[in-house]
Amino acid sequence: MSTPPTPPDQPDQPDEPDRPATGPTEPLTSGDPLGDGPERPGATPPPPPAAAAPTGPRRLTRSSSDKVLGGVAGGLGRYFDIDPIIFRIGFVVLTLAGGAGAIAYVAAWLLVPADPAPGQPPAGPSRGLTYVGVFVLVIAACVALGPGLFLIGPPLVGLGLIALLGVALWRAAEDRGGDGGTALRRAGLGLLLIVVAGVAFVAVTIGAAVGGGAVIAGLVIAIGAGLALAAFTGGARWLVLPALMLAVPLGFVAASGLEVNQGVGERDYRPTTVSELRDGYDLGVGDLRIDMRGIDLPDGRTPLKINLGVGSARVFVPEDVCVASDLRVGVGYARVLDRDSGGLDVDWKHSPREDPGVKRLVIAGDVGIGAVQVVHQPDEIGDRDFRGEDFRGRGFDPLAQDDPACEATA
Amino acid sequence: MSRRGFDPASLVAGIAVSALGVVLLLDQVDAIDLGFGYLAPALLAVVGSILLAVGLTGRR
Amino acid sequence: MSGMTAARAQPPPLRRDREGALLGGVCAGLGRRLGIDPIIVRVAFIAAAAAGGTGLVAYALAWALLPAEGEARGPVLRVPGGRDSLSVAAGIGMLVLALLLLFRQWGLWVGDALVWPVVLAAAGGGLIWRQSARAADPAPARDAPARPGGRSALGRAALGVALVVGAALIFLYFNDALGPARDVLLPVVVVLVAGTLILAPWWIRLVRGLADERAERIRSQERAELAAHLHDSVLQTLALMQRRAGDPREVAGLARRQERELRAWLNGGRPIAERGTLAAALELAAAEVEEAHAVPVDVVTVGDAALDGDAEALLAAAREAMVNAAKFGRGAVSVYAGVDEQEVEVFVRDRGPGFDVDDVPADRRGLRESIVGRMRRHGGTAEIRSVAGEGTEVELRMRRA
Repeated sequence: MSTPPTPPDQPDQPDEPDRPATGPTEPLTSGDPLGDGPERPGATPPPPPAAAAPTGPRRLTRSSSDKVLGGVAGGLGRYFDIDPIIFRIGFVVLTLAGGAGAIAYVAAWLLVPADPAPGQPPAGPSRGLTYVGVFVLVIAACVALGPGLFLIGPPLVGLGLIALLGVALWRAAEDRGGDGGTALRRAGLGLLLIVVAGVAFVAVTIGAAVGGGAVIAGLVIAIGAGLALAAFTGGARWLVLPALMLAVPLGFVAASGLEVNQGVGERDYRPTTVSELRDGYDLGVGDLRIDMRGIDLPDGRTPLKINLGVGSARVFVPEDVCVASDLRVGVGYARVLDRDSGGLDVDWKHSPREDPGVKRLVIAGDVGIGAVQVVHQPDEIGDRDFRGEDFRGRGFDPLAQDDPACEATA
Repeated sequence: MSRRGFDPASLVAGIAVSALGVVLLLDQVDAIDLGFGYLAPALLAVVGSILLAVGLTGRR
Repeated sequence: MSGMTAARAQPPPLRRDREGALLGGVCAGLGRRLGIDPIIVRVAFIAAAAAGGTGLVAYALAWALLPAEGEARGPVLRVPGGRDSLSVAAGIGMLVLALLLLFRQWGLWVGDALVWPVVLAAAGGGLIWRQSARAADPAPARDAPARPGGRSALGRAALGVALVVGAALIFLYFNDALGPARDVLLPVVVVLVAGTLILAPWWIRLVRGLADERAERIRSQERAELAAHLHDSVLQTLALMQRRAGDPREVAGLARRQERELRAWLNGGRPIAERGTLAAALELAAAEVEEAHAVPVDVVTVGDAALDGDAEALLAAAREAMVNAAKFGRGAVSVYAGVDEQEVEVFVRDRGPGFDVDDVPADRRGLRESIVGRMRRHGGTAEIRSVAGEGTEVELRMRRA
C-alpha cells in the first residue's frame, strides 16, 4: 500500500502564542472551503485508486461493452483473455454443424449473468436457472433416448453422483482470483479430469466384470478406512472421489450380475436333436442365438439354461411348445412371446400349468446387461435388440395361462 | 487453508465409504445378493451423507 | 492469530421454532439448526410421509419431543443461502431419496404413480410458494442489491414450475395417459403460440409503458426524498447558522458538520451512523472528535471492511490517536485508512509540536495502553513516530484473515 497523504497545509494561519499541551484554537476554516472532489479541501489525494476494488473470485459475466447480440462472446473473451472473435466464429461454426452453437449461445445467454453496474458486486450465477436447465436436459434425454435409456441410465446416474460430489468438494476447496490464463488452465484441467474419470470408470467396470470384484471392494474398504483415519489429522476429503470411482462401477457390475469370463462374440446354435442340446449356453459379451425350431422336443420338461454377461440372447421356439421362463436381467429387457418387461432388476418367473402330454421348454436365463427374447419367429424381433417392429407387448403377468401351446390337446 | 485438526466430514465420509465397500465385498463372496433396488439407495445414502457432512462443516 | 473474519457463533439449539412455523414449527426449527431453508425440510417430511407414512410419525415424534421457542406467527424464517446450504440441501435430498427407494424395495410403497409425482409436486410447489412469499415482502432498502436477487428468484420460480410440470407428466406417464394428453396438448400449444404472436407487439408496448411509468414514479419519489432531506437538515442548519452568526467558530462547526453529512448522504445514500462498516465508523469517530475538540479532522479511506471484533479494536485505537492528535497537535489532524485483502492500515497525523516518544514514562495510559497495547492484543501493530517540531504520526496495522 502506498504512503498516506501529507497533512494539509494551513495557509493564512493567524500567529499563535506557543501553547503547552492544551487544545489549539485556530479557526476551523482551512484551505479552500469550496474544495471539490471527494477528498477534504486541501488534502492531497493518495496515489491508490479512490474506488473500492471488489474482491472475490473472478466471475464469468456477459460483457455489456463488447456485445453483438448478448455479449456472451465478449464475456468469454474477457474471462479467458482471448479475442472474442474466436468465440464468435466458434459459435457460428457450431450452429452450422447441427445447431449446437445456437443452443449453447442461448443457454449461455440465460445462465451467465450480465455485467454488474460499476461499483456493485457481481451478480452470482443464477442457480435456479441452472437447475432448470439441468432438469430440462434430463427430461429431454429421457424422452429422446426412450427405451434405450435404461441401458444408459444407471451408469449415467453413477457418473452423475460422482460429478455431484466432485463439484461439492471442488467448491469447498475453491481458490479465489486468477486471471484468464488460470481460468483456461482450470477449464482444461476439468475436461481432462472428466476424460480420466470416464476411462477409469470403464476400466473398473471391465475389471469387476472379469472377476476382480473382491479386490476392488477391498480397495474401497481400504480407502474408506484411510479416509476415516485421516480425519484426525486434518482430513483428506479428496479421497472420496477415487473411492466412488471404484465403488460405483463395481456396484453397477455387482447389481446387474455381470460376468464376462465366458468369451466374447456371436454364437449361433441350431440344435437338431435333444442330444445336441447343451447343459448351458454361456457367453460373456455378444449375441447369443438359439434356434430350437429344428428340434423335436419330447413330451414333458426340457430345460434350457442361458448365461449372458452383456448383449442380446434370442431363443426361437416352435409353435407347439409351452414355454415356462425364469429370467433375470440386471439391466435391460425381457420378452417371452407376446409379453415383455424391462428396466432394472428384471425378475421374471412365469410357470404355466403343467398338463400331461404337453411339450414344455423351461428356460432359465441370466443376463447381466442386455435383452433376452423368446419368440416363435425371428422376424418378430427383426434386428432390434429391444422390441420388434411395431411390437406392443403386454406386461409381465406371472399368473397368465393363455398360451394355447400349453393346453393339452384331446 | 487447511489447518491441522479434526475434520468430522472426513470421518463421516470414511465410515460411509467403508460401509459401502463392505456391502460390495459381501456381494462378491455371495453372502448377500445386491440388486439395483438396494444399490441405488446405498449409493445415494453414501453420497448424500458425505454432502451433508461437507455442507455442515464447510471449510473455506 | 486472530484475523478480521466474523466470530463463529454457536449453532442454535434444536428447538421447534414457532416464529417460522406452519404447523408445529418442527421444520422451521430443524432448518434453523442446520442452517438451511425450512422448505427443504418440509419437502423431506412430505416425501417421507409418502413412503409408508414414516414422515408423519417422525413429525409427530419431533413435535412431542422438541421444546418450542420463539414468538408465534412471524414472517417465514429466511436463512440466507450459500454454498454450504446447497451441499446440505443436496445431501438431505439424496438421503431422503435413498430412504424412499429403500421403502420401495421393501414394499412399503403406495405406488410409483403416486409417490413420485407427489414428491416432485411438493418440491416444486414449495419453491414457488417460497418465491411468492419473498416477492410479497415490502420493498427492500434503498441500497439493497435488487438485481442479483431478482434473477435467481426468477430461476427458482421457474425451477418450481418445472418440477410441478414434471410431476404432472410423470403421473400421466404412469397412468398411461401420456399419449392422449399429448393429443390434447398439441392444439392448445398451437393456439397459445398463435395468440402470443398476435398479441406480442401490444404486450411488449404495455410492459414498456409500465416500466417507463415505474421509472418516472421512482424518479419523483427520489426527488421528494431529496427535498425532504434538504429541508430537514440543510435548511435547518442554515437557519441555525444565521442565528449564531456572531460566533464564527460555532458557525464553522455547524457548516462542517452539515457538509460532512451532506457529502456522505450524496455518496452513500444512507446516513453514516447506519452503515456498519469500518470506513463509516472512522468518519463517525472523526466527526465526534472534531466536535469535541474543535479541531478539523480529515478522513480519507481507500477500500472498506466489515466491522468485527478486531476492526472495532482498530477503530478504538484510531480514535484514541485522533483524540491525542487533536489535543496535543496543532492544526488539523489527517487520518488515512487503507483496506486491502491482506490488511488494514490507518495513519493518524498531526502537525503539532511533537514529542519524544521515549520520554513518555511507561505508566502513562494515554499512548501505551489505549493504542499500542490494544492493537497488540488483537494481533495488530501500532507505531508512533514523532519528531519534535514536526508533528506526530501514529501508524496502526491489522492483518485480515
